[in-house]
Amino acid sequence: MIKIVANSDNIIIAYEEMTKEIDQIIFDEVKNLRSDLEDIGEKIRVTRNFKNGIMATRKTNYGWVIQMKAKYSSILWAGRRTIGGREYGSLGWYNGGAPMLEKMGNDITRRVNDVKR
Amino acid sequence: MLKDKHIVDKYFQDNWTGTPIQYDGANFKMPIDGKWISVRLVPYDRQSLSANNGLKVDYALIRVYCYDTSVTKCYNLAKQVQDFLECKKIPTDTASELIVEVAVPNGDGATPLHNSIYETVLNFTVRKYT
Repeated sequence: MIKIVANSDNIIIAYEEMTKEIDQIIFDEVKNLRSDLEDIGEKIRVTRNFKNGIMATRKTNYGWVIQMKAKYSSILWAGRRTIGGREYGSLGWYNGGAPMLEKMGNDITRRVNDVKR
Repeated sequence: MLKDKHIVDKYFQDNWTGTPIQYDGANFKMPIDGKWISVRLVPYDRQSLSANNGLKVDYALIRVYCYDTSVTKCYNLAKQVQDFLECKKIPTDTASELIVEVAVPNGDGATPLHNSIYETVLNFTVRKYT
């Protein structure tokens, strides 16, 4: 006979397990984003510093941080555009970084929802 | 999504009167006063909502680049764009419409470019259920 007892200890254990799993999902997605950024760094011809300028991923009180110290990284992040006859950004990264972040957000939500179920 | 690009472009063309508009992939001459917006639709995700009845949702970003001659003016223009597009429903020729969510700034503030032009970028997530 199996007796299942739902008490506060069980609930705390379940909660901790779930939190750990969610943390792992977020960490996986951050790693994926970083690897995507490194791939893009290979493609970008404007500045080869881009790939080397991606600093080590670190966790802060506010969440994961991927910092890019390369010059022009904010210009590259906004995507390729023509402004007054002059080209900004890189063809290798036409749409810039925002769609990648949005996609990451969707993937995290999807995977976390699966854990909750 | 090409159809959606035309729908978004048409929506701006018909309703936005504040500045000239630069559309993605079209020729554009920079206005003398240095004030304009540039519109781009970037699809980034697609998801099946239900395996049985084939409901799907398409995700895209409407990226609006705002240009003006000072940081303050640039932010003011971005505010106008935000009021114009945020939380709107853009009708299409089918039953599904483009649902625009809140604006998210790119996070870089206003970036100085050449000829004293400043740029700020707004991102609007768009969903379409089909």
